Amino acid sequence: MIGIKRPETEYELLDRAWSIAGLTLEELALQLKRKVPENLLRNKGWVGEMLELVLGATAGSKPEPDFQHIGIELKTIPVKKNGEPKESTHVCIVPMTETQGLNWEDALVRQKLARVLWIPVEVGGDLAERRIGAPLLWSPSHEEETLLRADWEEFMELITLGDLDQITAHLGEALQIRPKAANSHALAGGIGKLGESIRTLPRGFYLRTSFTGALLARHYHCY
Amino acid sequence: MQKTSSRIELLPDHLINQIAAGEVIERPASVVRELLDNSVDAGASRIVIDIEHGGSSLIRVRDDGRGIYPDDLTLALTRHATSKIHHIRDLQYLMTMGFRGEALPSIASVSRFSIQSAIEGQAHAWMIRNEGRSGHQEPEPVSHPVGTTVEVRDLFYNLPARRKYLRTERTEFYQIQQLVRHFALGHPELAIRLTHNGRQVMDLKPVSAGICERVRDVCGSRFLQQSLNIEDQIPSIKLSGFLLNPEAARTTSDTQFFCLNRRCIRDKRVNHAITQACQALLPEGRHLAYVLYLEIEPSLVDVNVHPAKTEVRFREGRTVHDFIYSAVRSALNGGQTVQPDQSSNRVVGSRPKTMFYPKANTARQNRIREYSVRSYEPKFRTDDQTQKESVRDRVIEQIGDVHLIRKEDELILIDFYRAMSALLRYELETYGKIKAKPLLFPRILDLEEAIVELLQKQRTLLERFGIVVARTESGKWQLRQLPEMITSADPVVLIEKLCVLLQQEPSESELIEWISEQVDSKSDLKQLLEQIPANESKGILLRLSPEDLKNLIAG
Repeated sequence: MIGIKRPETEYELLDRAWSIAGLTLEELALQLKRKVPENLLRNKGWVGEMLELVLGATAGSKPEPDFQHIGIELKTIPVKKNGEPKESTHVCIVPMTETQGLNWEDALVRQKLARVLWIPVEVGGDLAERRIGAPLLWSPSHEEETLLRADWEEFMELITLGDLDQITAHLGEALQIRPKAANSHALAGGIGKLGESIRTLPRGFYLRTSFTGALLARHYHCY
Repeated sequence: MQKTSSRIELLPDHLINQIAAGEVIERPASVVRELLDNSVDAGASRIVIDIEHGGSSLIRVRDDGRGIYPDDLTLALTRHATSKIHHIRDLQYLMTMGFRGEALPSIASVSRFSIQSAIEGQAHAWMIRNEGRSGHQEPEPVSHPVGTTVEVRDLFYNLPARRKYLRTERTEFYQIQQLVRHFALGHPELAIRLTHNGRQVMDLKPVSAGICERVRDVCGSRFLQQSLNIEDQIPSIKLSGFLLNPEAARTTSDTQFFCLNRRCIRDKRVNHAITQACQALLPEGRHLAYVLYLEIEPSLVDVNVHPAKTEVRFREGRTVHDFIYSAVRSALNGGQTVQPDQSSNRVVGSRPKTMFYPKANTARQNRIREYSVRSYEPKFRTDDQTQKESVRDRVIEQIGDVHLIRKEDELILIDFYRAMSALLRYELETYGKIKAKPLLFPRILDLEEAIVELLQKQRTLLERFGIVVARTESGKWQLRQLPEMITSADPVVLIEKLCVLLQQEPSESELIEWISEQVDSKSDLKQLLEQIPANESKGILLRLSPEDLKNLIAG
């Protein structure tokens, strides 16, 4: 099963995702003729890579949907046995410069979340024994989009006006902004308090677990 | 230390005014600002400002406005008395400079104060004096042309601490002068004269040939020659004015004038946007110079933020910020220098279609317009809300299959399995299938051939009942989906039991009953109650109002 072709339709992708649902990571690795690593400490993205591989994703970490030709973003979401997400979900980087005139309609967050294929993956216990969950093809409901948009606009206002210091992980109902960098020395361009250019930590948009948790609970039997 | 009384008392008026003055009146320039605003609101066309000793000994503002009714003179010195607004909604569409009704009493409480005023058609003018805490005296007749003169002497004479904070005469006058320059730029139609210690510092004639004239008079012709013309608009917002070419930027920041709907303001955001737009071109240590006018629908801006009104709050802060940024950017990219001889017909900076201009921003702008009418939409997590609403709803007791529930002021007896069956039947009839959800982790089933055949044969029926068992590419059987109500049973055991039933070829209603029995009776009863259609409730539940209960007992 190596060198899997990219799926040509939404249906094909979903079908493929269903075909691996319920498998353990070991079974999946076997299909792909890979070995399960001992742990994820040095292989943080391993699970995601496996899933991209088996589903035929192409974009990698580029700022475009994983299945660009059918406009679908793949999101692996680590969940506990009871269905609660273990951690917030990274969406995309936060634009820190040239934010003038950027509006929600063109926002990367919105593009990335317009159509998402969620694949829950069990956390805890032996890595090889963890199960892959049922796929969920999702687009934000009107209410969800309203919520995301309100958060995004609030964040972008702070960023554009140089109030980066006011952005903490406590802000936002559905979205959250957190630094996303290898370490505190990796700096990116941003806008300062007086409108000047500054160097600051690159940041990422994340979906809060309260948001993804509610989403999963609504769509799945979680037990 | 002497123990002071800890009783709560209402402060005397003069003290209240002095406290308010602390907020509004920071320095002589603040007094000038308030008085100029009043003159504009009175419809003046000529204002004379006389200052002595940096304003600490005298501030006198004389205008030819409408004047104050003699009977209102006393009221003018009463806090929260104003002619400028009458209703809270006036605040939203504010076109006057003042509105708080605080300025005059505040100033009067910290100075030796007098107003002389005459209105059209009166025989003579009236004057009222006020000295600090001694309060105001009765108005007396004086001679004065139509209009008003306010005299403020010995500012802070009764607040020695405050007086100590005043800077040198020169500094205080500089502040006043900057304020008057700013004010003059905001009101080009006014004739304005400013004197300091009897010496004339400024004498501006009302402009006749466009704003350029006033800008030249206030900022100098050099500024005008080296400036870019800025003019841009989007729905509800318009920006115009002049920006000194950043290459010619100055070492001081004394020419940064921004007027919002003719109000002179210093707003952090506005500065931020302009600085950001220019920073690449601005030599280090230099300051921008600009005279800019922003016109915006009054309802989109809140000036009632601070008593001094130098700060404002925009409804759509980011839109305003981005708009100013892009307007300045495009002026810098393709703008033309103002030619003084073209001053009367303003040059519109030929704006190339640059990437800086917000494209397709109309949705956001339209939203601005809608803003005032659009009501606040509650955010989507209404779970909490419903929870709060149903605090008074709770399950009281269960005997056999029957549950006793309190819902608001009703007691409800419900037969759980019959209710569940009724609900399933209703869903089948209405939607053609029972509401179902996929399992978070589908179960791989190890099935015998005979069972597989059975499941395949009944596949359509099972799907109607929300149960989906499917074969994957690798040939394994996968349990994917179960009815929404089933929340606790082990799915694999459930399927085994189902197979036993299927072998007996059950009828649809037998299947319904079977599924009802699989539902955990501890599951959400309240939700079940809400889902049962009212006309289906017969034989399933009994609602008892307080009246019904009384009657029951009375027999």
